[in-house]
Amino acid sequence: MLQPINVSLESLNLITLAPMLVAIAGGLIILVLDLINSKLHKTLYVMLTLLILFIDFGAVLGLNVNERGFFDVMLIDGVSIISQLMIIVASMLFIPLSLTSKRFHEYSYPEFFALFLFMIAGFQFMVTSDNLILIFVGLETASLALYTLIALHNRSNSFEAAVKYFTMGALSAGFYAMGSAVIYGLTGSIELYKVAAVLSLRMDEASIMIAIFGASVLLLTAFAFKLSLFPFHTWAPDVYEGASAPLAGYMSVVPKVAAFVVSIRIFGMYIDLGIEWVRIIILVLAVGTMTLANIMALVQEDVKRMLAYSSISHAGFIMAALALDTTEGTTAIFLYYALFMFTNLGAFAMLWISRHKVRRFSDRYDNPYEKFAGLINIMPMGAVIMALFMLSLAGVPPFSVFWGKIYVMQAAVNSGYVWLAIVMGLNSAIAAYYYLKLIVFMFLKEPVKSVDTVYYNLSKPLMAVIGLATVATIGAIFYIQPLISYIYYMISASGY
Amino acid sequence: MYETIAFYLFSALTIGLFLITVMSKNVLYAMTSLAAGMVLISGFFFILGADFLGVVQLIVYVGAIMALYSFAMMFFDATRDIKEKNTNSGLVFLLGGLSALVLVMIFAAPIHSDAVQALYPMHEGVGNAQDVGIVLFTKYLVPFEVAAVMLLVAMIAGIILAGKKMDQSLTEDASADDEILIQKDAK
Amino acid sequence: METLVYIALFAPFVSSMFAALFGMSPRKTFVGIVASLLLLISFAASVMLMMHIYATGTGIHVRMMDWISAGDLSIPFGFLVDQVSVTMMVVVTLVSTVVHVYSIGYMDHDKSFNRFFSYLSAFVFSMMILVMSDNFAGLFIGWEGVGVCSWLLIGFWYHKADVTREENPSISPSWAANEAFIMNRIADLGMLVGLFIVYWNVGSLQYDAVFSALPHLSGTVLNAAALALFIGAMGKSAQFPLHTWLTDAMEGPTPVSALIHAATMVTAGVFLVIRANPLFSVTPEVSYFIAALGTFVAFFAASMALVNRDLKRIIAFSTLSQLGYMFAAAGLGAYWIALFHLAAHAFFKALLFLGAGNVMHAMNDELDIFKMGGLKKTMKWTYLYMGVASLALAGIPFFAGFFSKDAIIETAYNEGTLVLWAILVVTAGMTAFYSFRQVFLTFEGDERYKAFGIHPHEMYKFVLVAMSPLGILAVIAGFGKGSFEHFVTKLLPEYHMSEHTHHIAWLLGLIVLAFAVSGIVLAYKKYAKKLVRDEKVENSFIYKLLANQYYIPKLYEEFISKPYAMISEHMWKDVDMKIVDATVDGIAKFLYKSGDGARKMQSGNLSNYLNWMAVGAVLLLVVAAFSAMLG
Repeated sequence: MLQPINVSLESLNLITLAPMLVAIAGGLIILVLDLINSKLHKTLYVMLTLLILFIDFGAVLGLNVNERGFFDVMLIDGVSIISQLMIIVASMLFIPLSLTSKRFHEYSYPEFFALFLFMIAGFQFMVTSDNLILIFVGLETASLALYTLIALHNRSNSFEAAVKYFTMGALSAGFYAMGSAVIYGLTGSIELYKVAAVLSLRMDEASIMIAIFGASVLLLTAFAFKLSLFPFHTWAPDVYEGASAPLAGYMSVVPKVAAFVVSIRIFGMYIDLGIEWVRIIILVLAVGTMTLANIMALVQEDVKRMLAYSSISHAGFIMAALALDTTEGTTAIFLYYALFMFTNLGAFAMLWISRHKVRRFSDRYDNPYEKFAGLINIMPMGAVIMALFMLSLAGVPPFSVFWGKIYVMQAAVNSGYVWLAIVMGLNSAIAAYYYLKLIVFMFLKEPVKSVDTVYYNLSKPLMAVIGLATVATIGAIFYIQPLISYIYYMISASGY
Repeated sequence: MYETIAFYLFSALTIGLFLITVMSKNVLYAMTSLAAGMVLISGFFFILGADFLGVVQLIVYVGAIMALYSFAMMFFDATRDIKEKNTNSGLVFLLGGLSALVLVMIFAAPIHSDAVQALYPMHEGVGNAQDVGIVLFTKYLVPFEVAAVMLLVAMIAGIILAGKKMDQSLTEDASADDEILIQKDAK
Repeated sequence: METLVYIALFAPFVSSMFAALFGMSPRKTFVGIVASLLLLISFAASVMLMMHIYATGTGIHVRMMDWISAGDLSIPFGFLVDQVSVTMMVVVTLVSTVVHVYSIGYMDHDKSFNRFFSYLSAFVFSMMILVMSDNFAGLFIGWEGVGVCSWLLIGFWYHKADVTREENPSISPSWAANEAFIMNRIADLGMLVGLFIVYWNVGSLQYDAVFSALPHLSGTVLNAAALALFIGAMGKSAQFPLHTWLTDAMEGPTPVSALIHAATMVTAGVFLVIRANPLFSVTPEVSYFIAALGTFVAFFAASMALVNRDLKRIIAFSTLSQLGYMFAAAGLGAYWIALFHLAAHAFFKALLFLGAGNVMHAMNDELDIFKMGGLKKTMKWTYLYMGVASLALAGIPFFAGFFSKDAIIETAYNEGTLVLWAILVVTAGMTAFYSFRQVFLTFEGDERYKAFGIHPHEMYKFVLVAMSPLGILAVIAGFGKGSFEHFVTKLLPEYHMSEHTHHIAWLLGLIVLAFAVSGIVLAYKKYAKKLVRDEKVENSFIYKLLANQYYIPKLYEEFISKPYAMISEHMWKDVDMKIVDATVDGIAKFLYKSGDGARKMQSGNLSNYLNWMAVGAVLLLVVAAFSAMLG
């Protein structure tokens, strides 16, 4: 018969669950508040969400590095702490963007904020575990919430985007589940550290290798979808176009950080085991993504789509760092996103400022280049800031993304991949073209219509967020060194 | 002996039914065959002695998911044939076939190697449900609860997308209709 | 003390940022006042630091942060405040403070008033970094910062159109700004090479590390490094042949000229030589070259000043000439004398420029001294200031210039370089002549401006008051020579006159004085009463040669700019358009085409997208299979 189970509370190490519980509880509080009094002003929810995120942030900071909790399901290592911090900071930047001068549709739902907090909890679960099941459940929680947030923008192309994202996400979830099942079938475990232990003993069995091979390709497909790597990126431009601009900016950072953490855990393990072809397919994916996305970005006529392709290309850039599997390479991933986060969110927020309901400049697109023609005359400060973001994205020193790029390239060279660094350099050169195109439109062209109307959606909180992003973009030179050392310390502490 | 016969019978039937699901142009046929296939899959679980999972399979897939599908179908004209916009059906077959082949290869490969050690083996003389329950409420309590959150998310998402005023614009601000504010020249 | 260092350094930065906040808005006087106050704070902090160092005799070394640490290269961002840098800091901040206050009055009517203060303070900040840095990298950053700010400031009135050389020798402000920038870039290349040589051989750019490693280096390396660094110094300090930008830089607003000449820019070269004195003292050949070049420039510039008619250009030439003196002293090993002359010169040169600014302001921006005269009636104070400054410049006893310049000339004698000595003595006479020629033509004699319908007026009171510290220092600075020597020779090598020189010092002084006084007398006789123009002299070859600056700007244009333009055009038309451009266009076209092709992938159809995912998965498998088989 079964023995009674005795578990001491200390051995559970419940503190490891604290950050996610904060977010989930916050979401529930918002729902309950709305039930009690549905007439509350929506700004309250924004502030409440911010407050919860702050508490969440504090809870993450309070965690100790390299601990496991709850029957070893939870794993708090440096990677998980850094990624949680980045997720929360990006969210804190994102949430105030709802306080525009016109309160858009989605922000009138308290459920929007509740879903947002559940999504964050989902991402946090995803990054604080090496248990494939928990990763899966966290990922799906976050994804479901994200699909809904996209659809809440309430325009026909938002629905289209949400449905596309949902369907393809379901397929990728299928890939993931398949891959995990194969791994379980092979090793009898779905916890990566046990998987690694089993695999390292049975590396010489050919049939095992075939299975590993298949499993890793399936998992890679699933994550390549989440990371929008070529050729799994097809959803990205449509979804970015359909989502509201801030959400598009958010989507190009936060879900990808979470997906990268899991990829580091899974594929880092494979590469560490000496399975060299995993590295090669990752490199192929990375190079293909950065090059093709760049080329496609060139021919876009819409700024938002261009930015979508550009963030795909940036993801490819970072994917290459994953293939290196050195401490420096892993540091580069987080450093890059930490820097990219501010600039990219800033750029999308600038699009958000110019949000119209009516497509006034083009029948097909919301943000065609023509809309920004002559912006320098209409809104000089805005044009300069947008140009700064573009220069930063193009990797012009001394703005923030430049340091990320240079660090990635350095990591590549240090691991002996000189050709990779060269490919990256070439790609940055191509990318500069389409970023400069926007600058040319803003500074050198005359406004298309002689209307003195622009920039309706501006408000104080928006300006504060953009200002913060600008400062972070320009001032990178001052904080880059401490940032690198912090990330490097955290990464090396967790053994990557 | 009976088990082997049952296995092959179920396999053949499952494959056949799922083929209908994929090939049929009529939604109703596809759905019905899917439900039937799901029922037959639960048969595998029973054969393997995982009666708990077998029941779950029945309840979840046949009971919940299929019911949901059929409710959804009521909103459409279910008798109409589906016209897929697939220009290149050859490619689809090729891809489907290749993927299936690869999956079979992958799953078949470990059979040749040593038996896999299960980390949470079944206890002798204890029911399947109890064993699953113990693992689910100790080691997998967190994923279990997160799954609950996931379902909550799905529910909220369903409610607001389907119900709450999504047919009207809730965007605040009087000027939002034309969305153009003439910005007065500050100078 | 550390706080004081940061206050002194960052007050100008804060000032610049503050003014930049209002950069786009219309003129606001308080911007100028706040900027001036911040500069004053910086000055006060510098003075307190100086007193501290004077009392304790040790420098302050602060390390702000690790700036670059990549691999073996580690450049800490540190600051060193010792006897040399604190002297520079006091001089720079004092002159800058006065210039800031002065600009409030001078730029009164300018639209871009706020922007001007932002640039001005940034200029000072760069110079402070340059002098305070404890390593060559920081110095180089300040060096470049100064270059950029000077470009911004010289070209401040960038909207003025280009004119021909005959009308205005420096064509236009933006032309002059570009010239200054490009000349400096050429020189900076030399500087950069020098830094590389140092880093390559020493492995560090910290001053103390570099200087302590000097004995282990070979003579060639030392000479190369010293020469390369000096080329950098030549650019900033406008030594021959990179001197043309300095006079053209007069296109900038006058306060900028005062700043460039007295405090923030041209002294950087001298400062570099003084700072790196351990390097230059072990390279006697390079040092002698510096001394000889300095002497040559002193004479060369003075000769051009003799005939020039432009008020500001004359002063600019005199700066050039005085820089020559400083380099002569530094080259001869008398580093502290060079530094002393630098400080003293800063005071009276700033005063001269600000005085010239007053005159310009009064004369509606007229600069031709032949069109002035008799201004003493309306502009008493300016006359007094410029007179005092010219006396100091001419080296009349008991004014500041006398002590410092005499010491340099004495040094030349003491070193036995009699040729240099003789040239410097003659130059002293010429200096006296041209400075008083300008003073007399401006303030004495008949009132020629009346013909042009100008009604001069004196500058604002507060401006005149603000100038007074410079005026006082121009008179009394010389008396601090003894204590200054005592102060800086704690760090810089001491320099003693030999017994023999000491004995005949009075005679040497008298000779110089005789030259100076006769220069003044000559100027008085010729110009004080009335302007008599002598056609014969003006048409003589030498006069023309001098008036056209030895045709050097023209030479540069004919032999450097034009051929360069020709080659560029050729390269553009034949090489660039046909080969490079075609290639680039080809690549771009190719990229565009492939982009268009790839766009087909983005059909918007969900089924297609799902197919693509499956294709991707299969492709990945194929790639993985291949690499697994090959690897």
